[in-house]
Amino acid sequence: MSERTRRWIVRSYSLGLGLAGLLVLAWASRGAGLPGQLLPLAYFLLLSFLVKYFGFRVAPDVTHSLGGVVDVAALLTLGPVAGGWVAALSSLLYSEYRARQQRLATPRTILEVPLFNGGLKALLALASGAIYQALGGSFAPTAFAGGLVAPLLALCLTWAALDHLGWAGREYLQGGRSGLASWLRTISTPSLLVELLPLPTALVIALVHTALGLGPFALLALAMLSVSILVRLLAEARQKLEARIAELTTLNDVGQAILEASLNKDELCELVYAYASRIVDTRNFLLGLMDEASQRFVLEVLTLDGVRQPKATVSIGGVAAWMQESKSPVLIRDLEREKLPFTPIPLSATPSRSALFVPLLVEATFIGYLSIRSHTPQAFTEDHQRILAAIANQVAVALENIRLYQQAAERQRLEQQLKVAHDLQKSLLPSFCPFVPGFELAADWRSALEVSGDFYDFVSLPGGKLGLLIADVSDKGVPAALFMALSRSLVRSGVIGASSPSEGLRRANTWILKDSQSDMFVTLFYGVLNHADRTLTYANAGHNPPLLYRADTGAIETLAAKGIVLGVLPEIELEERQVAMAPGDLVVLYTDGVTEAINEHEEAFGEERLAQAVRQHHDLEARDVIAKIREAVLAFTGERPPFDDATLVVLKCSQT
Amino acid sequence: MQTRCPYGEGIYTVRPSGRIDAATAPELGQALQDLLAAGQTHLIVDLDGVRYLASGALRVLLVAIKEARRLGGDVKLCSLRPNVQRVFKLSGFTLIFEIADSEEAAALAFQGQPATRAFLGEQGQ
Repeated sequence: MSERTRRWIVRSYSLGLGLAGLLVLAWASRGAGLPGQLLPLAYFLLLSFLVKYFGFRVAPDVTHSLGGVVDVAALLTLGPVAGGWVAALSSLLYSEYRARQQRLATPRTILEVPLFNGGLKALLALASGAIYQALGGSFAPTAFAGGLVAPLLALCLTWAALDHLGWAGREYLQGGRSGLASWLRTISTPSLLVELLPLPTALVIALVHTALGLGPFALLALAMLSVSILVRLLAEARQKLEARIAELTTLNDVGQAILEASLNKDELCELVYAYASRIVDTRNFLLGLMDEASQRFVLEVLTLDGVRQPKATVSIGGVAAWMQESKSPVLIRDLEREKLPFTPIPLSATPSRSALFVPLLVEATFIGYLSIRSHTPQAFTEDHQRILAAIANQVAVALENIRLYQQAAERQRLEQQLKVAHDLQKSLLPSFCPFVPGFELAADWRSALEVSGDFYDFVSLPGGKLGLLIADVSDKGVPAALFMALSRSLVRSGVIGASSPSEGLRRANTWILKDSQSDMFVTLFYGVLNHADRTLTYANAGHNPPLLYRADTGAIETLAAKGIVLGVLPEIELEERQVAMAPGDLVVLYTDGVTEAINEHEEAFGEERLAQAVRQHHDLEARDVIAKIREAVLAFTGERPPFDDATLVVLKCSQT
Repeated sequence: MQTRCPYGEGIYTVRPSGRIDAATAPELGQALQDLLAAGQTHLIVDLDGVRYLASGALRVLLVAIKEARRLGGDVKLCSLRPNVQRVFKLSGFTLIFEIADSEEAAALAFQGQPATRAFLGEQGQ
């Protein structure tokens, strides 16, 4: 059944029953002597209206009040026709009044509900009056008699039963069986306590009116009114309490769900929207979060008139900019009448009239806000603000947890990267030093925590010659390790088959530039050792010049040659030099991690200290020379952990 | 790190001091990148206060000069102490950077120089 058809059926039922009731009452009124009863009818009507006015509502449309007691009293006093008019008119007028008060002037509120309510009461009065009379009850009783009990009870039961039957029929047509069941659950307790059980007291009112006169009746009427007010206050207090319990339950659910949710921002945002929808109207809802990196504002969840909008990023302005400073919530009751501390950025073409903004704060840092908006003024109260703020607090904590978790994951990822880089770097180094007749070779590579790109290599060349190289890539981490791998293989390819060291490096330089678009470069010393004539022919591409210790004089020379680092300029010139080595001579190749090792006074180990260590230990085996240099560096730096890789290669011309 | 602009708009001087090594080089790099990001492409790095420059610091200067030249500007160096001068010479960076004796000379060099140069690292096409 379509919603339209259903509405039409409900309307027909309501109007049909209502009009029928009123018509029957009008018909019964002929010759019933109503004109003579106009005065009591008027004040009963007034009392009934007032008592209904002070009623309370547990379900929409239905007002619970002690009005039934007044209506039945009027019936007992004035008879079913006049009593019927009291009940019908007071209900009709009250329903009408309520529609006007709520400014809800729809056909349903100003026509359907009042006519139904009035007409139904007319039928109740006529039917229950007839039963009362049939069982021997008399109208306008002056004294209580045992014979009144049965008819009175029958009247009350009929009244309450028919009243609820009428409304139940309407609920059934509106919401089907489930709608009816939920309606019955909602109203059963107040109906029993307010609508049925007090009903027989109507007899007391009738007796007072007839037997004691208007004065005592007025006192009783006052008492009725004050009891009505009291009942209403109690009912409202109870409703508030229930609403508060529902809020707390929802908040508890939100907290629980956040705890159980996987640590994902998008999921959390959806969750918040779903839970907020349970307690507040989220047809116009926004959950916006600051993006730390871009300093822009991300509209994570945005609904406009119930339609979900795609996620968007905007620049920070309006309320977000203001909240960043103030960190306070804003409750706007009527945008047209209030002066705001900021200029709101309209999110849709139809402007909001009232709105509520609540910031998300992490230790006084603004990270976003929640807002609900409405096209009608006065849509939100402090209660909404309180509940939204409570949700906001939980969300902020959860978002902060997500951020911390991601930070930890990022750190872990970096550590993993460093390990990969380290392993890669290590795998590229020679696993042993080659044997060269008449020479000793030793190498040692120490990686610092933050990997840089040191490497050394030995290349077997035609004619029994050996290429030695030591290099340092300018950067750290995985990119440097990859660049190092690239440089290593290109240098290897370049020098094998090259006519000279400088030629080999020039080729390598061209290839490195071609293959790499990065800002990285490599400093590199490359020498070719000819063990037959004990010469070392070398070129230096911007690397720390190795030290050459002369055994006969004890002097130290540096193997500098004009050149430039590889990987920067397309055309390079490299000077090529040659030194002849004599027995006992020592060449120390090193990277800047050795000479730039720092002590607690921020002093660098330096070339001079390195030279000193070489002089002191030149007569040891190549391997031990390295060990002594390490010792000297360690003694110098003390506890301070090395910042950079430190690599040493020692070539010693054996004593004959 | 001190940044100043004594030669009128368009030429900025960055004055690092103390040691520039692998640990402190990023700070210099950031200062240069900030200026470049702000559209300042005529930069002088005054190394007068630098008593030690590790080879690791060369990279941040290289990154800066590449970016500056790509944008039509340059990074010039001035007032190098002997041991700093030696690092540049050994690494061959004297071929890349224009090195002046004083900040004033570096600024003058800017005024007499057409803004564009080939982008470093690109093959000579």
